[in-house]
Amino acid sequence: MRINDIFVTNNAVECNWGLLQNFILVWLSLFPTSLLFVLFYNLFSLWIPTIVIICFLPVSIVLYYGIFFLLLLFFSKLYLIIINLIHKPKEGIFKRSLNDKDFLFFLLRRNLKRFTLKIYNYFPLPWAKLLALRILDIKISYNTGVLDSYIDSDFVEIGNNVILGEGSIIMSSMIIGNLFLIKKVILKDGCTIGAFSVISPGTVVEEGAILGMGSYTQVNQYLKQNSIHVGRPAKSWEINK
Amino acid sequence: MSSPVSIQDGPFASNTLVSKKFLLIHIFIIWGSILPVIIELYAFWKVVDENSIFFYFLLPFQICIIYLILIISSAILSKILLGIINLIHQPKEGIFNKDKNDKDYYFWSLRAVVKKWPIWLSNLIPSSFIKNLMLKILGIRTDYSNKIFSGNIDVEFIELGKNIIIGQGSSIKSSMILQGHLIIKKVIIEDNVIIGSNSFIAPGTHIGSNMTLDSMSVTKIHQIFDPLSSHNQNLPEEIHKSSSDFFLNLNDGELKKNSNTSLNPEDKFVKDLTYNITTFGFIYFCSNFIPILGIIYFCKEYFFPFCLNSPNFFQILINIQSFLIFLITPLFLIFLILINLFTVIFITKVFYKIIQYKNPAIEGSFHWNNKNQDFNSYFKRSFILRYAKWKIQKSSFPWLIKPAFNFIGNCYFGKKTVIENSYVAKEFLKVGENSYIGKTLLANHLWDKNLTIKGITIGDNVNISDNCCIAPGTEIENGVSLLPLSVTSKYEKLTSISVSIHSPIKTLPEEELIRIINYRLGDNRED
Repeated sequence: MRINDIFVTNNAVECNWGLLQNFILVWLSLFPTSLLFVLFYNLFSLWIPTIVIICFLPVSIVLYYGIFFLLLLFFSKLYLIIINLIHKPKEGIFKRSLNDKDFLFFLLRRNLKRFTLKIYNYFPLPWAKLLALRILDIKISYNTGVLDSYIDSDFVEIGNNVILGEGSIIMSSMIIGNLFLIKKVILKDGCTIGAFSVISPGTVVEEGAILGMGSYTQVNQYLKQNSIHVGRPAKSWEINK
Repeated sequence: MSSPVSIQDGPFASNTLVSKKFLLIHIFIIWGSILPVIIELYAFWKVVDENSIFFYFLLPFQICIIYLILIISSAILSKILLGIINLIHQPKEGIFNKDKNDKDYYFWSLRAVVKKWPIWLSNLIPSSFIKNLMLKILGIRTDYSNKIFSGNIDVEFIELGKNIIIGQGSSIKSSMILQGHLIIKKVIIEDNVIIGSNSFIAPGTHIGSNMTLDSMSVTKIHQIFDPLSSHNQNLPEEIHKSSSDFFLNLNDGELKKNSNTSLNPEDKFVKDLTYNITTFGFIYFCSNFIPILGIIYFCKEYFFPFCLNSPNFFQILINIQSFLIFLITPLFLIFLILINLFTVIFITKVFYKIIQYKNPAIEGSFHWNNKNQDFNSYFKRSFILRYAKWKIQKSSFPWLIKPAFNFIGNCYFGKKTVIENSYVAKEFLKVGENSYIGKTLLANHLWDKNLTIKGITIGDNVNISDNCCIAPGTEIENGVSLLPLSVTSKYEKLTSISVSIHSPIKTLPEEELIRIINYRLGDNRED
């Protein structure tokens, strides 16, 4: 059986006990934030008249927002480093059961990152999410347009000036029956992925390549430089001028 | 897996609003679900001293408890309301007219509105546990081992088995709007089923146990998958092939030279930081100023002295003034949230008009290296509109997106048009009356070395299903229906009353349509 014959499915695995892990993260970041809030309020109320404090409340609230989000990111990163020290993330095909160490730690990483990134969706400035993606081990630059897409939590490399369409899915892992495949996805500089398209694990998209709307790539597919690919699965069509 | 910024994933209730009276019910449910939270706050306030460090230690727990209470109370309240509504009109399967006078359509919309708030709440946190809990309270058969966090699942006429994994962005629909009809059919998914990403499960589908569905597959209406019939020898024993024949694989020959395949329309972050931060700061400051002042005033003058600081709980219920404030508090919160939204919309309009006055928006093609005034002004406009759109679509009043965009003046939506939780174009969009737009993409610009900006025109009575891509310059005339996952090309014209699918798009003859959707629409009301 060739690996390309496998269906492109999904990787929406998760564990219910992950909620506890998320709660610890929220607790760790909310506790210092609320303490800081009280501390600042008590300090400033001595020096600054109350009316000024009230007038600038929206500003200070976005400040506390920011502190909370940064702390959340800090503790997530710390937690991620600890997880990765215990078991190094690696590519390959694993059994989809909790007895498999690789799969278990994939679930831990996935759960952590998904929660942090989802919370970042609620920050008033959506671009804060790019910072979170960068810090949580996904190679991505600030001049990409990736905000309305699903990006997998690890083994993803995204170059400069990459644009991902709305609802597009970048998967570096996939369910194959009882097995679980993890393989790196590389999107090189200046490539474009159309809306609602799916990138399977192991796909390499060369510089300037374009994948059309509503198409998907197979496992280990290679998209040529400066060419347009369309279809389900994607086929090379013509050179982009 | 990170999820898109601008839409809400997870279980989903339609945005169809047959009558504006339904909004009162929505507000009533929000109001009713906040009341238990106030009681809980009171208990917390009494037990824990506010000035001790212990108070701040327990605060995060408090937030989680409030969230859980909100979820459970809202679900129970909507369950009770649903019970009453179902007594008046029993929900049933079948094909109905998409018409206000049709009782089934009317009550389908009412049920969606009643479920909106609990579903919205459960989608705040990416956890299947909470979503399954919510579905269970709303009376849907499901199991806690199902992974459904990022698929759009309808919340009625659905039966889920165990260990189901639903991919990102896929829609499981038990109700579907097509050519002026509402089709409701029960969807049954058995144990250990894996559904690929971005796929569409049509009403009436029955998927047997241990099946795997490919990515971007679409099922027929009333299609039944037998686990043994479609077993592929090449694959390991655990995998069963069941990719539907709804879409044949795309052949190279089908691509015409002139139908330039449309590509990605995502905003690109242009580094105009000073402009971005000042405008955002201004909108944020102005929109939050009144609500925050209001909340401080209300808490200091009314809520703390009359509610939280009353000596015992029964005092709140006995004292008329305390009781009134106890009842008014949730309404006041809803009022402040609405004021926040309206201020954002108003200031966005002012900013938008100023930019339009300086440099009117034009359609056309712009080169990336030649950044002229139009190019920059395009980014300025879309930055401003993005915040308003994000704010409204994320709020619990997603219906506001239509009147808001009509008010700002960037888009036009006709009467009775429904826009679901979707990636809407921010400018140059015209939608006629009585149309329906599902979770789909309406793109007014695209990148292929150049930036092409061209508007979309959609006529009356158009139905666009889920996961479609509408490319820039598309013109859709009255009465056209698009089936799921269809993709239009640039400058495409869809004329006359027809149903279209495929990528690139093509019109279906009627026999083919009957074969695909398994029904002849139009005459058979009682099925």
